[in-house]
Amino acid sequence: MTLLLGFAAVNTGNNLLYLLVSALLGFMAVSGVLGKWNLSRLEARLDPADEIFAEHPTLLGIRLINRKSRLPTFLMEAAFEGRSVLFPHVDPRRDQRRNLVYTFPRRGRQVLPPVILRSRFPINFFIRHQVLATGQSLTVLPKPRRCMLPDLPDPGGRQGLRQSWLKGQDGDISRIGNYQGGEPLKHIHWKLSARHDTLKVKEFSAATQPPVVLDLAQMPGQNLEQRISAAVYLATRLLKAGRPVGLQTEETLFPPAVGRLHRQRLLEALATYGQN
Amino acid sequence: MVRIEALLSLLAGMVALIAIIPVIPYLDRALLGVALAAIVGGLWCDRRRRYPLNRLAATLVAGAGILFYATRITTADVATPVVHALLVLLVVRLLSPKQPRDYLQIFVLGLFVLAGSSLLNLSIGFVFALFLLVFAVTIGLVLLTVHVTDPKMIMSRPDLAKLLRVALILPVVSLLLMIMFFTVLPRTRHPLWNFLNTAGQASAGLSEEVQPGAFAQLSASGQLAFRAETETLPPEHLYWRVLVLNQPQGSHWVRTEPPAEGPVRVEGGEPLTLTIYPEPRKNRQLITLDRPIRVSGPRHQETPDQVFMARRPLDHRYSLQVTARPDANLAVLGDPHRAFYLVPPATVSQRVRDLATQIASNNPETNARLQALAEFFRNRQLVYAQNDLPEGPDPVDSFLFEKRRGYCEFFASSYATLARLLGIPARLVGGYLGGDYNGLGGYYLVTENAAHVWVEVLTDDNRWRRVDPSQWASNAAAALGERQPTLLTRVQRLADTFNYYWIQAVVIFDFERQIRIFTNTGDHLRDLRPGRISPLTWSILGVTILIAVLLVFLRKRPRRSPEARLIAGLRRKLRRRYNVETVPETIGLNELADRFDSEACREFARIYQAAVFRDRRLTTEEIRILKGLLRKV
Repeated sequence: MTLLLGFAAVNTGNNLLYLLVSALLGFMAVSGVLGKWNLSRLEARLDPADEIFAEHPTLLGIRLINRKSRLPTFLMEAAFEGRSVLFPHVDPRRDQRRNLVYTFPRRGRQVLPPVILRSRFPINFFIRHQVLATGQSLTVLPKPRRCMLPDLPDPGGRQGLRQSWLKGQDGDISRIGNYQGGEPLKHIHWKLSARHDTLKVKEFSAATQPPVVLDLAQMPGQNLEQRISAAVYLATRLLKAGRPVGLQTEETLFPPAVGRLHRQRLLEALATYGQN
Repeated sequence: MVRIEALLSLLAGMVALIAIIPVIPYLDRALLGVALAAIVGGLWCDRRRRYPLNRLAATLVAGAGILFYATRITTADVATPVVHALLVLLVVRLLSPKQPRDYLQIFVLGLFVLAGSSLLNLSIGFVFALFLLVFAVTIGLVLLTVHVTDPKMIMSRPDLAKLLRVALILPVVSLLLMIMFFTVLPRTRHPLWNFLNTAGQASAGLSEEVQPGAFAQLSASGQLAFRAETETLPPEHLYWRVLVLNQPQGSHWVRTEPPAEGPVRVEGGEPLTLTIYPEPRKNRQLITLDRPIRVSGPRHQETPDQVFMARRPLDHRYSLQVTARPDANLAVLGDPHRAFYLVPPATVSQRVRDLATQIASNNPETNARLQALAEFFRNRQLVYAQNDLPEGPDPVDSFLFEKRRGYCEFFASSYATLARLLGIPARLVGGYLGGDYNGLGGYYLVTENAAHVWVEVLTDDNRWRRVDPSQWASNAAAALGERQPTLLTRVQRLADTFNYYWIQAVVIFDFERQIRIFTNTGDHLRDLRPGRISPLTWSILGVTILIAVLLVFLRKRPRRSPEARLIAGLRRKLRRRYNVETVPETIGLNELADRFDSEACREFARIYQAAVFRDRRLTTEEIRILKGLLRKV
């Protein structure tokens, strides 16, 4: 349109047309600059969930941070691996979070793909975009594969004959030890302490289930991935039930234990198994 | 909450209205009515989502409209039918269902109609329409982008305000850049499509014959004739020369090709140079100040009697540089062809002939005859008037002996007739007398009702001398003298100043001026040395640097949040109110309230903490209340 009017202006020598063309050219220039500003000084961060399993849809947070001091950012679309969310506007020096549903296709340690920011603002003639590499990485846990819980041995479990090697509060007295200063007073063995110079305390074993060591090679499945998936399923199920779980791979043995950290260590080992 | 689509509908209507206003005088009344109804109807239709035209009907109506107006295009007028056709398209778009591209089409059509108006009319109104349209279209385009991104978008008022604040950068900066682009865009010396410009609206200009009694309608109009940029001149110098009528034809005076007189020379008087900006007119004579020495402007040809004829019609705007000596006479160095200027009108009454014979017999010398003639005019107590005029086949006789009232054409033709009967070569000069000086713009504004006719007589020493017999009217001072400006004329002058600068800066800006700007800028830059920079340039430079520093400073110091400003305000207030040196930053609001035992401060703390401790920002209403409390502290 500007070209057409410009052509008319030159050929008619009509200064009013020149004014109109000048205004349109000015508009083109300033809309270009405004579009560039809109996209400038932006950062994107991905906020993934704590545990992400491969092939399971998960909510992935995208945080858009506007570092500009004055200008808000408008109509910014943040795309991640073909899925996108719209940020209608983010105030200057503020950030905003939007979630999208995403399924990571495979397990393992991976660097997250870049976030593509694109916007039509201010004028819907062009779509400007920029690719922002967040540099973030995460471990995607293997997809759990449901399998039969193996018939786990529990020697003397029912008769109360099994030894527990964990300290606890509610099991049998496992041994008498020296008072360290942190034990509850009710655990002090007063009679025994009277015969010694130091205070003696009763140490109890924890009431627990027998530990299990999952041997990756023995897991059900036709290939490594299926065996890993089965190991993940069993590890999470058993740990949830409070049973100490260990893991035996070709190179490493993770002794049986319980707890969040241990669970994380096991799952990460399975996630990265065979990738290094 | 505001629906973006509702805003778009409103803006589409506004764009159509702004585009139509400048072309209203050129539109068919019927189409104008339909267009105005479509603007209102379009809003109603958008609200109800029911439209009188579906897609097919819209295409058919638009096609028919274009076809209809295409048949009306002539070589003399292309612009008007095109504007009508564009308007039909606009009406169709307003009254049919709207997709985003339809809104875009409405905006584009609005701009095209405005562009079309520039071919019909060059008035300053264009620039107002342009400003409004640029604002409406750019904001419309931004909202359209929002609408395209999410068609169901509803925005809260504060969010919309934020969007509009940024969107306003577009029209404001575009209009500033417009000035820059306007100056540098390439121009051609000879436009090829000049025929499209029907905007000249050339007025008839001065009549090319003088016919006392047949009062020209045009002369009575207050229509602008030209503006002349110069310093103030004495009123007796303000004779604007346009054409010379040298032969009587019945009771008329007409112009025939004057005989070659050999070289002429302008003698006496101080030279002065002025620029004249005439309004477009149909005749080709250039307007000059009597006596012109040099004229530069449109290509022209000069005749021996100092009439400057342009080679092309003057139906466009242009400017003219004239150097003149207002007090001078014109000396004919060759043969003045006295006989050519001695032919009297065929219809001279016996009374007039007797009068001439009487004066001639009493005064044998030319100068004495001229004096006697002047004496006769003064003694007749003639009245300068524009009503109750002499009529009949011999208006000169009726003017001199019966009615004794008339306007300049009666005075001039009577005088020239008598002079010729006395054997003194005489001719009529048509032009303008006087003008309103506009001190603000520094120019004379001359309207068509200042049209005037005077006489030139050839003395024995072959010099053409100006004689204005109208000045001998008994009421000449009142009729021809300078009028005291009334409040209305002052306002009109002010308004005309804008128009004058508009024409100067925009309408007649051409290739030559563009080149001149570039050359001057280059020269100024070459000559730029600290000692030679004018105080004005220094001050502009200073203000620019100051603004730049201020911008950098503001950028470095982020604006504090309203919460921070309120707290700072409270501490400042407490400091002043209780006359303490400092209020430590470490003391909390509640403690401050207790220490100063201030109820307002306590209330302030309660509202402030209710918001900030819950990790939300203060609302506008809360800020208002807190500011009120600050005043109470």
